[in-house]
Amino acid sequence: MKRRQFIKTAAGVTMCLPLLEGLMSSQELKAAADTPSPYMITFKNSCGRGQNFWQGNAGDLTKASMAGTTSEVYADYASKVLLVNGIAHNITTNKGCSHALSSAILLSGGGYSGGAGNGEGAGSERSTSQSLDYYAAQQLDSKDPFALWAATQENKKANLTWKGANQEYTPVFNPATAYKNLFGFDIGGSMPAAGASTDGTELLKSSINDLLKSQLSALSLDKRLSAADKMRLDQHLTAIRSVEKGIGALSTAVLSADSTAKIKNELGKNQSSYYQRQHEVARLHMDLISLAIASGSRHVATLTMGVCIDFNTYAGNSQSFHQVSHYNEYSGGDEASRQAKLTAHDRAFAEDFKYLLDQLSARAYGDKTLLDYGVTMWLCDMGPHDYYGHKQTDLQFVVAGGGASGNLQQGKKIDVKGVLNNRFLGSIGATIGLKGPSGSLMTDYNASEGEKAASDSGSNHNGQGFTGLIPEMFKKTPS
Amino acid sequence: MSKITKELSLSLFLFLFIFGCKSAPSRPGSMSGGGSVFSADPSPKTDTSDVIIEASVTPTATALHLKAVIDATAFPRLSHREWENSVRDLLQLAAAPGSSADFTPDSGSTLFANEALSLDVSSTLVANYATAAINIGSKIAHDKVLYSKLIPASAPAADGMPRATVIVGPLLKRAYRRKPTAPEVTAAATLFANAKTALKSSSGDAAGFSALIPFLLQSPYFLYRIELGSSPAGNISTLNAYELASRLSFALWESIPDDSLLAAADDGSLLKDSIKTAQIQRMMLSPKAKPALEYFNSQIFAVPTFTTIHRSDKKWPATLGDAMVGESQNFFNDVVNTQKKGLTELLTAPYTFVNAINAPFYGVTASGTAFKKVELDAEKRAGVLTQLGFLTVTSDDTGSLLFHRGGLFVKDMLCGIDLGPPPNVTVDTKTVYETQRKRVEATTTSCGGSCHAPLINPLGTAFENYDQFGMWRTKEGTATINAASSYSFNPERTIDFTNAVDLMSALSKKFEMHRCYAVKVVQYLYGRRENLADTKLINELAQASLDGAGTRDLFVLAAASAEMTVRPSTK
Repeated sequence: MKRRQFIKTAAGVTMCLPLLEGLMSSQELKAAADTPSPYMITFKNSCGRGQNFWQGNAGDLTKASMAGTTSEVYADYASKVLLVNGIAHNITTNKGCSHALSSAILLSGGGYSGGAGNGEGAGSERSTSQSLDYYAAQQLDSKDPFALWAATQENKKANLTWKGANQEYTPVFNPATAYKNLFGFDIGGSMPAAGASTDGTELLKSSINDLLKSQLSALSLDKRLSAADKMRLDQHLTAIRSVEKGIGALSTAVLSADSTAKIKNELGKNQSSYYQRQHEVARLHMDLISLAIASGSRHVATLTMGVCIDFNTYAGNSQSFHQVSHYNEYSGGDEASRQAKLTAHDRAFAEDFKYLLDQLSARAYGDKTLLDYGVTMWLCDMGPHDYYGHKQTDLQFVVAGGGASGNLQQGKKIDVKGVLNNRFLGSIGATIGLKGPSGSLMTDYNASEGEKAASDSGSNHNGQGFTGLIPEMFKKTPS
Repeated sequence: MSKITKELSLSLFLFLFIFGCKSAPSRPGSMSGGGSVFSADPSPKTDTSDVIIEASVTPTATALHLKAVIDATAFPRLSHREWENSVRDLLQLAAAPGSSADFTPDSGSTLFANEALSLDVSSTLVANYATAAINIGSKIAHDKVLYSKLIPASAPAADGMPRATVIVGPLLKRAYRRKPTAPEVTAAATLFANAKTALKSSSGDAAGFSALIPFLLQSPYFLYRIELGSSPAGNISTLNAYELASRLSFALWESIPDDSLLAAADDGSLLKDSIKTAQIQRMMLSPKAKPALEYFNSQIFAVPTFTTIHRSDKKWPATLGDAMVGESQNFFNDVVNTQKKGLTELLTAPYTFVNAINAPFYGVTASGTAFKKVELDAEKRAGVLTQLGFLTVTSDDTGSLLFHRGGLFVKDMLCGIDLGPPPNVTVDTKTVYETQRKRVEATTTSCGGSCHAPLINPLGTAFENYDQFGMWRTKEGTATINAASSYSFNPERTIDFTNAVDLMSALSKKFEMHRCYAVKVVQYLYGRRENLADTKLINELAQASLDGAGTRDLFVLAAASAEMTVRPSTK
C-alpha cells in the first residue's frame, strides 16, 4: 500500500495538500557501514584542572612520559591521543561569571549575551553563536546532536551546546530517556520491524507526516510572519524530515546486557537521584554514545559532566568540585591537600574518558576500531590556576582518534600557547570533514564572531589570529 | 569565644562572584516620591535597540536597560505543562497523560517555564511528540469508553466520510482553537475514514482515532499558540478573537479554551471588553485556574529546585525536598486560592503546612505524609522566605550562606540587577571570625562600600537566625546572633529591622516589593520579558498589590488589560 493511501478520497483522488514536499523515502534500515562515517564526540567537565595533569614537555607520548600524571590513566592510548596545551578562549575578560561564559563559548568561540555585564544575573551568560557540535550535527546528520548530561542539578544549565544565538540546547540527563530519544522505544522494548510494516502503522506515520509538513509549509507562506518565525517553522519542518530519516537508522549495533539492565534501571529517575552518581551515569551515557555512533544513527555526541559552575559533589567528596577547584573556597586544609583532591577529581574524569575510549575501541572494523574513525575530545572550559581558578587561557584539551582520514596528529603533546579556540574548533571540524559556510573544508569556526567578541570585551590576544588550521594538530595540514 | 575555623565560605566567594562591586550599583526599583518608577526617555524608540531608562532618585543611579519593543513570536510553543493539560482537555481524559516526562526538557528560560522565546522544536522533541501521540492514540483507540466520549451523538451510524466528518469537526476546532476550514476538515476526515481499511481493522472508530489523534497532537496548530493577529500597526499586532481566547486560556488555565470561550470567539464578542472581562472572571472562578496560580508562585520562590538539595548531615531526610515542595504548594494554594490573598500574606504569614518529614524542623509535630496547616511562632516565622525551602536552597553543608540569601533577595524579590564580580579579589582566608556576619562585614569593606554593605549584606543578615536546615537559632557557636540591620532604597528611605520577621513586615509595605511581583505577573501571563509599553500596567498592578489585592486579582487585571490583546512586533 502506498503512503498516500491514507489521504486518498473515496474517488481515488489524493487530497490536495498544498506545497507537499517531494515524497520522503519510506523508512529504511541503514545497514552498518563497512567503515564508519566520521564523527565527533565531546566530553566536558567544568571549573578547571589541577596540577600535574599531564607531562610538562611537548613531544612524543609514551607510557613512561605519561607516568606520574593524570594522563597515565589513559596511557594505554598514548599512540591514539593528542594533548593540546595552551588554547585561549576568544574572550578572556568579562563582567559576569567566568564559568558560565567559558562554558557558553567553549564550543562556539563567539560572543555572549546576558550575565552581569549585560544587565542580567551572573551565571546567565549565553552564547550568541551556534556551537560546533550543533553545527556538525546539522551537517552530518541533519539532526540535533546527541547531547547528554551527567549532573545532579536540574536548576542549573549545562551551557555547552547552543542551537543558535541565545538558544541553549538542553541535554538529556536520564540514560533511559536518551535511549528512547535515540531509537523511539523504551529500552528493553522491541525494535520496529525492518521495512514496511504489515499492519499499516508505518504507512500511517508517513501519511501523518505528509499532512504535518503541508501544514507547516502553508504556515510558512503567511506574509505576516517575521523572519525569525519563518525560521522557527522551517526548523520544525526540518526536524520532521530528519526524524523520518533517522528512525530508520537502526543497525546490528548492540548494547551489552549489563548496560541494558543498568539503563533500564534508570527509567523514571529524576536528576536529583544522580547525586554523587555522576560518574556512574556518565558511563551509561558513554555506552549509548558508542551505540549511537556504531549504529550510524548519530555522528555527533556531547556529554557534559556537572554544570557551568560545578557545584556538583562527586562520590567520596563532601565539597563540590567548584569548592575544590578554587583555593579561596576550599575548606579541607591547605593548598597541598586541595591539589590532591583536585587531582583525584581529574583522575576520576580521566577514568571516565578512558572508559569512553574503551567502548569505542571495542568495536572493530578490520584492523582498526571505531575510535580510529572520528575524533573524541575531553575538554575543560577553564585553564589551571593555583588560586582563583578563573583562567580563560592555557586550556588543556585531550583529543583522541584519527579523524576522517587518519590525518589527526596522534601520540604527541603539543604546546600552542595563545592560539585561539576558533582555530582549534576549526581544526577539529576539518578532521571530520566539515564544510565551512563557503562550502570548502572548514579552517576555523566562528572566526568573525569570535574576533568581534574579543574586541568588544577588550580581550587582548597579542596579535593571535582567529583564522586558519593549527598545523601542529595534523600529520599533514589539509589544503 | 566561638571560632569560625573554616576558610572563606562558598557564600563569600559566590557572592563576590555574582554580586561583586562596581562603582555605581543599580538600586532595584528605586522610586521618587510617587508616580512612575523610572524617568523614561521622553521619546521612546520604536526600533528594537535598547532604550536606556534612567532610574530616578538614587545618587548612584545606573542606567537600566529595557527593550523598547520585544519582537514576540507569533508561534509560542506549548510548554510541556501546557501540552499535558491540553491533551487531557482535548481528549477528555481523567488525568494528563504524563508523556512529557520523557520529552527533552524545555530549554532553560531565565523567566518562567512558559517564556515563548525559549520554547522551540528540535528534532528530538519532534520524535518525542510523535512517540507520545502514537501511544496516546493507540491507548484511546483500544478503549471504547474513552473514544466514545469523543463521538458526537449526531454522528451517522455507518463508517465512512459522513461519520468521520461529524467526528473530526469538533475535535479539530478544539485542537486548533479556531474554526477549521473545510479542506482541513476533509483532510482529517479522510484520514479517519480510510484508517479502517489501511490498518486492516474491524472497527472504523478505533482505527480512525488511532490515525486522527496522532495527527492532531503533532499538528503545528496544536503545538503552537498561533498569534499572527492583524497586520501590524505601529509596534503591535492585534489578536483576533480566537487568538485572544487561546492566549487567555493558556495564561489562566495552562490549557486549551473550553466551549464557552470558543463560543465567545466564534461570534467575536470576546473582543468586547465587557464580555472579555466576564470570561476572565469566569475562568478565574474555575478550579482550572488554581494550578497556574500555584505554579506561578512556585517558580518565583524556586520550589522546583527543592528536590535537588542534598545535605550530607544525617539530620536531613532524603524525602525532605519533596516535603518542602508539598509544603510550598499547599501554602500557595491556601494563601492565593483559598484566602484569595497576595504578596503581603505570602511574605508575612505566620503559618505553614507540615507533615511528619518537615514538621521537626519547625519545632512542631505531625504524623503521616499528608500536610496540615500549623500556626508558627509569629516572632520567628513570617511568610515564604522564612520557610524551609528558601532557607535551605540558600545554604549548603557548611552553613547558611548569607550572601546567597541576600543576593537572591535582591535579584528575585526586588528585581535588582546583579553586578559583576570584581576581577581577582584578594580575600583574607586566615583570620578567624566569631560569626558569619562578622566575617562577611570584615571582608567586604574593601570593595563592598557601594554594593555589599547597603544591598546584599543587610538582607542576608536578616536571615541569620535560620541555620542551613532552616531551623531557628539564636547562637552561632557560642556567639549570639545579631540579625538587625538597615536597608535603604535611597538615603531618604531607610528601613531598620531586628530580624527577618521584622524585615518582611516592613518590606511588604513597600512599593518596590510589589512592583517586582507585578513584573513577574506580566512575565508569566504574557510569556515574555516586560517592555516599555508594560510600565503603566506594572505600576497599576504594583499599587493594587500594595493596597491588598490578591494574586488572583492581579491576574484578572493583567488578563483584562489592553496588553493582553496584542503581540508586540516590529515587522
